[in-house]
Amino acid sequence: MQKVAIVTSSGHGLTKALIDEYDIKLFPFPIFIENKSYLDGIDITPDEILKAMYQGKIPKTSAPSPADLINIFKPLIDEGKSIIVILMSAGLSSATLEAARRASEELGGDIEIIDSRQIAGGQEIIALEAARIAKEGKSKSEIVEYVKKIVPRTNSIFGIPDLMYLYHGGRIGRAKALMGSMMKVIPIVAVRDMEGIVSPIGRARNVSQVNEKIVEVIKKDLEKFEANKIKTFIIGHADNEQAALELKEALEKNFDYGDMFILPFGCVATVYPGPKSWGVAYCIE
Amino acid sequence: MEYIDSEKLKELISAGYTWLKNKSKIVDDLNVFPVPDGDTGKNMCSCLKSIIDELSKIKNINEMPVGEVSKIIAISSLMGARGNSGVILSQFFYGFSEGLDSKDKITLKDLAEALNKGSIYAYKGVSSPVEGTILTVMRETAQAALEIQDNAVSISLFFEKILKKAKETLNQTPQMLPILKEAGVVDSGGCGFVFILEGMLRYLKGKSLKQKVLVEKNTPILINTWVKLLNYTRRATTQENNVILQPKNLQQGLRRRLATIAKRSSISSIYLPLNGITRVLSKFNLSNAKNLLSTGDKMVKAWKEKPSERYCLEFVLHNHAGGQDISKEILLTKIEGAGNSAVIASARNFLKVHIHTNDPEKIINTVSVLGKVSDIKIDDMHAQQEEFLSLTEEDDSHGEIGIIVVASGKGWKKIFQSFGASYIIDGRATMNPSVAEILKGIEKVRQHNILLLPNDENVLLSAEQAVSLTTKNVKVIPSKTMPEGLSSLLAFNPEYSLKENKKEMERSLARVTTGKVTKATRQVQYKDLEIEKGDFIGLCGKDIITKGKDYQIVALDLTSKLITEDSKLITIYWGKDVHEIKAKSLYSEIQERFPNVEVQLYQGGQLYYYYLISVE
Repeated sequence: MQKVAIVTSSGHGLTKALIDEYDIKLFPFPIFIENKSYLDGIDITPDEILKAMYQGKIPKTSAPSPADLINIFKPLIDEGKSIIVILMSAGLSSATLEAARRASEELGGDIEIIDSRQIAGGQEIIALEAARIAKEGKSKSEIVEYVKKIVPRTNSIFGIPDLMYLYHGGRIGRAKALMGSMMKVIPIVAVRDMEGIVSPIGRARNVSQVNEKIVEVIKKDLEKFEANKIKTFIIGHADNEQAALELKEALEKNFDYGDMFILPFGCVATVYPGPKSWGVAYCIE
Repeated sequence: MEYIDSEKLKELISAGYTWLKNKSKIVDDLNVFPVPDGDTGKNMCSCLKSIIDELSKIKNINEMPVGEVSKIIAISSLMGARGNSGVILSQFFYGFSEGLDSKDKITLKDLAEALNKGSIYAYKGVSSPVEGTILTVMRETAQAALEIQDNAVSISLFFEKILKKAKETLNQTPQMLPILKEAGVVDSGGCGFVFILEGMLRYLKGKSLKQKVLVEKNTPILINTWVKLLNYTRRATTQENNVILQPKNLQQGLRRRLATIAKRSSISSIYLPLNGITRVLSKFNLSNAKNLLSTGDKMVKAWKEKPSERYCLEFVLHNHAGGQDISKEILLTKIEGAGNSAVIASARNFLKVHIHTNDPEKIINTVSVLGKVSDIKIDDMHAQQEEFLSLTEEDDSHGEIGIIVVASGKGWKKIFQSFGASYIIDGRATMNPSVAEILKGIEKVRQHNILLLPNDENVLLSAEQAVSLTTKNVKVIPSKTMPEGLSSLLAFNPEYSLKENKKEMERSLARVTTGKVTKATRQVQYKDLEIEKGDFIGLCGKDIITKGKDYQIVALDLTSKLITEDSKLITIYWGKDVHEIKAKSLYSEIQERFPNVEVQLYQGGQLYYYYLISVE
């Protein structure tokens, strides 16, 4: 039996098939829409969140409580497993990290908490990679060591047509510099370089220009790491399959890569950037 | 009776080091003699740091007599010494330590004598001593110490008095050494010595040794501004028709900078010989340019002239095992002819040698007969000087970036503002602002680092001229139309350096093709188009592509000629003389004609062109 359990938060878009295949344990994220609380994946779906947004509502996330996490961790510990928890960047949700720490202290089991410095696809790549080598039977310390190696090599970039959601969600970070314009433009932001927060890349006039810019940035990152291959791409989108498919085409044309997935954003990944946003996370080989 | 014990001696040197280190950029900035390579402060710090490092290794330093501690000071200062002033300073410490050889603790009389011995040793170490340098400051300081030793009631009063003398002497160095005066500085090594004493006095008085503001490097910007002003003046006085404006901003920039430099050293009662230079600057006008040219040229020459000897060679020469001490005099005669600025610091079993030369190898070969050579260091002073005086990438990249845009029309101004332009220069109808207007914008913007988008071919030249006349760091993005400027502005990333932004933004220029619709002002034959006055014409760059009697039709035709297979976005900006209804109808027609391309419509309000149409 596999000795190490990989736990990560829900809401980024992993499909059931992937979760089962890699044996990843998810804990749900609480989501608020107009003061009503839901649990991601249990009583709300990304489509419902999008619908609320199109109606002009601004959904928000909250953090799981230590007790919620204890409920997830405890059965695994009782089975005699070590746990590696891969969390959304603490720069975007410090409360989750705090809750995980408290739960871990409370339980006193063998739990390693990892700040992925990422969100959405970036967090998923790290969780998937950890789960993959856990399945191969690697020890906890080996997995942790490996994960710490790929965290700095994992970045994500997004085209976000309306920065209002990030702004109201309190997660706009330095990308605030891209707000406000007299024209229809799409701001491009990134979560990269281990910063764990949203930083500005630039603006573009339309989807294809955003995708061009994304390709440019990834090329620069490859140069920086003196690498020539991307291990995994995870393309995500909130009700913008067209943009995601165009991005897929652009990435295929420009890069040598291992895996590529297109996954609609989960609830959490939808709440932050809002409708019509899309983007890609990539891990440099 | 007050004494200095071993502990206090260490604390004094340590305070001198800390204070000098805080001020080392000021000292670097004064480094014009013997070679302007901007490292005097660093080198003197290195000498003191080496002493402090060694003394820190001693546990319970007060159990050790001063005489023993001073031996450690002597050797360690020599080992850490670098550069002219550094080696002279180490030789000073060597003599100073000799003076304290057999003491348990130091009285003021001992201290005065040790300072004197330090000064004598420092002179002895230099092949041809020059007055108006650190040597002079050391000697005068020691002289003052000898005179007041009996009258000083306390150590801190003693230091107060010798520091006063040291500063007076330092302030006279420009009178003794003409190149200092031409360059507008006091001697850098002497200034370093003053700061060491000042640090010691601050420690004795219990004053803080922390510096609030880190001082920036000033000399390179100063010299570069001078060069600009001199170039401008020469051009303006020789070519009558080329006088565009008084280079007031350069003058003011220089005066401001000179005032800043003067002020920051005057805090320590150090007065730079800048009055003459500032006076010439404030009285300057083009009809009386001779004074400015001669003063400025002298100053620039003092800093920019390459040293005749290219390399700074340093090494340690050890006695052969069991051999006799190497005579400093003999060594000097052997190497003197091969270079200049020779300084030799001697210790019991070895010599530390510093010399400027064009042939370091030859010197090493010569001296290796006398003893064992080690710790060889060779610096290329031409490269160091160039680096010192060039505006580094660091100066360029740090800090916020301001964006200046030349624009015509209310709509365009709003668009550019909404994308973060810090200042808009009104291009009016013809997009032809004067150099003075552009310069005004540059000076008005708060930021030092600026990106300038001319948005017209005609403006490009004036923009570049304005850049050559400012002390600010401005990069021009050669945008030829407003849509090009917009495209490049979208690529702007506030977190990139100026250089990176320039590169990214220039790349985005090429993405856009701009079509322009205007009215012909005269009859003209262009290729196979016969254009009458009053016809509407569609242009791309300077090329007339289409013509007609109706600007709507011309606009549509122009668009269809600009579109290629790869086009994905057409943006229409309607101008002042176009009614919104007409613009919207053009928008619909273009949409209909090119169903696979996205079309956007904005009010540009530009004065000259009925429509600006960008295709990308």
